[in-house]
Amino acid sequence: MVVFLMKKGFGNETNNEGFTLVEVLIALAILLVISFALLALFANSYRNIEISGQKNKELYIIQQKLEQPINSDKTSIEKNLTISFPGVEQPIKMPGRIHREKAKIQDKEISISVFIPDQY
Amino acid sequence: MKIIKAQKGMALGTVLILASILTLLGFTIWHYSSRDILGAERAEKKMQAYYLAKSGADAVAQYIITNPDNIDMSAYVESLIDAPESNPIKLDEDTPGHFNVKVDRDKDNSLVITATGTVDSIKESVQIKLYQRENIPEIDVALFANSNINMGQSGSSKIIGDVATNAEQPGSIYFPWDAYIKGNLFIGPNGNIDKVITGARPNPKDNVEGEIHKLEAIRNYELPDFPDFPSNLTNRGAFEAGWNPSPPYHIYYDGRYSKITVLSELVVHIGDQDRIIVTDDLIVEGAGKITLNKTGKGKLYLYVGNEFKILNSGTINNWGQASDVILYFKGSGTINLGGDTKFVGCVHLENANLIIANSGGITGHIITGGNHIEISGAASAHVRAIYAPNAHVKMKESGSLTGALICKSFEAEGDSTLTFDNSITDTFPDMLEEGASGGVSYEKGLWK
Repeated sequence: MVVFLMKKGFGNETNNEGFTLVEVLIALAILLVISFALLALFANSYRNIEISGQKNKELYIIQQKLEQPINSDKTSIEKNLTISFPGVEQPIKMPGRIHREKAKIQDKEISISVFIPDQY
Repeated sequence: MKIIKAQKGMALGTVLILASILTLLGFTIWHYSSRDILGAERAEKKMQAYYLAKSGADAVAQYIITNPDNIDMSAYVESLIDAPESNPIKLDEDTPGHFNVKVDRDKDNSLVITATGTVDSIKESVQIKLYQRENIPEIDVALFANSNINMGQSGSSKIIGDVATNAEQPGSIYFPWDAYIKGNLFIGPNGNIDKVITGARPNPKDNVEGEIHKLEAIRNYELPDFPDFPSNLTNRGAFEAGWNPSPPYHIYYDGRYSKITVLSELVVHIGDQDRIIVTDDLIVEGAGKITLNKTGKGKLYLYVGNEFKILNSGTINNWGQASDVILYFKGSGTINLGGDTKFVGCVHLENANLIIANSGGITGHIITGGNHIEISGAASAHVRAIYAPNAHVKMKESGSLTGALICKSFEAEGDSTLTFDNSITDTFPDMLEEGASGGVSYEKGLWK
């Protein structure tokens, strides 16, 4: 088998004309340009994936906080929520507080608000 | 082998293939990350929409439950049910989106509050159920009249205990010179005390020995539901307890009768189970008496559909406990209990009017949907509540009542006396517990 391959030549040594300097240089240039472009794309995509992951995590924490009974009124704002229905003369005016939970992810802020009516 | 041998442009080809793979990979990651970012943004909006919806539903639910404006909540709830969805409501300027609320009634009579929060194009809905609860009315006054209280044109009628009315119109309460209330007086929440109370004295407020206040809110005393008569009882035809064969006659079992006439003595035997007797007519006359032979905790429930009469010296459960006999009367007209008749038990009249002529007539609490009650005899020996929110009640001559009186309007004349006794609060709610209502309130159910 080896003798056969040697006789036929495995080819590499027989014709190396293709590898010209110009060809290699052009290939390298293309590779370089594409690599830079894709590197930015990869970095940006990775950053986005990380941000959305963080955002989901923060939203989960915010939801946990909002679902807990709110004992402290320090973070909430007093509000008289008015809800009017067409054809109903007297609107619902319910006193309560707007509770807002915020989180900062890199330079962006997310915030979720909920109205907690007063318990009589 | 040819490909391997001829390697012209091989490097460039390899680079292009590699670049294509990298580009494909890059775009895949870019697409994935963009979708992730959009998903996270959507999750944020979805969460805000959910909390907007929850805010709206919670606010409406809490308003209905707590009634902070002291309005007629039953009527208001009906208007909310009839109304379409609320206008879009913003929580505040810093919170994106809005919410709408719709109130509906469910098959089980509970309220369903559905709120939808909208942030951009993302909508989230929540639902909360409010279960209706019938309130046992609080009876904490000697007299509650929904409208007028007239203590008579002359005479010295008196009420010992607090008195309350929803009346706000000028002249709704009138005192002759000698009539008085020995207790506090409460008028309607928006009434003018100086105008609502009038009388023979220059300052009719002097007829009130206690303080005069306004009610914090309108009081609603509603009639309890009149029960459906049991329909699954054995039909036993007409029953007469006469003199031949000689009495006493006995009822040992539940049953449905077309007519029960008691001319002598009828003994109803009751063990631990309640004895239920349904009849179209119940007539106790002459020296007829119905007595109980109680060997357990059971009570006698009498359901009378058409005619109920106690005449001459007829008695029911005389010397027994009023709480042992409960009579439901569906007929109309007027029940006149006077003379030597005695009925010791509680009655619930669907529409009938009532005349109590003396202390012996009836003992025990009375609920009636009738529109007229007259009390002319002394009934002070018995503590009872008369609960007649649709009735004009007239106490005359030396008519007296110890307990409490709930009525639409009240009139006294002569030397009548109404004395509050809070021991009724121990027994009266038991009578009201089946379908009673002192207004409707709601309690929160589950969120969906």
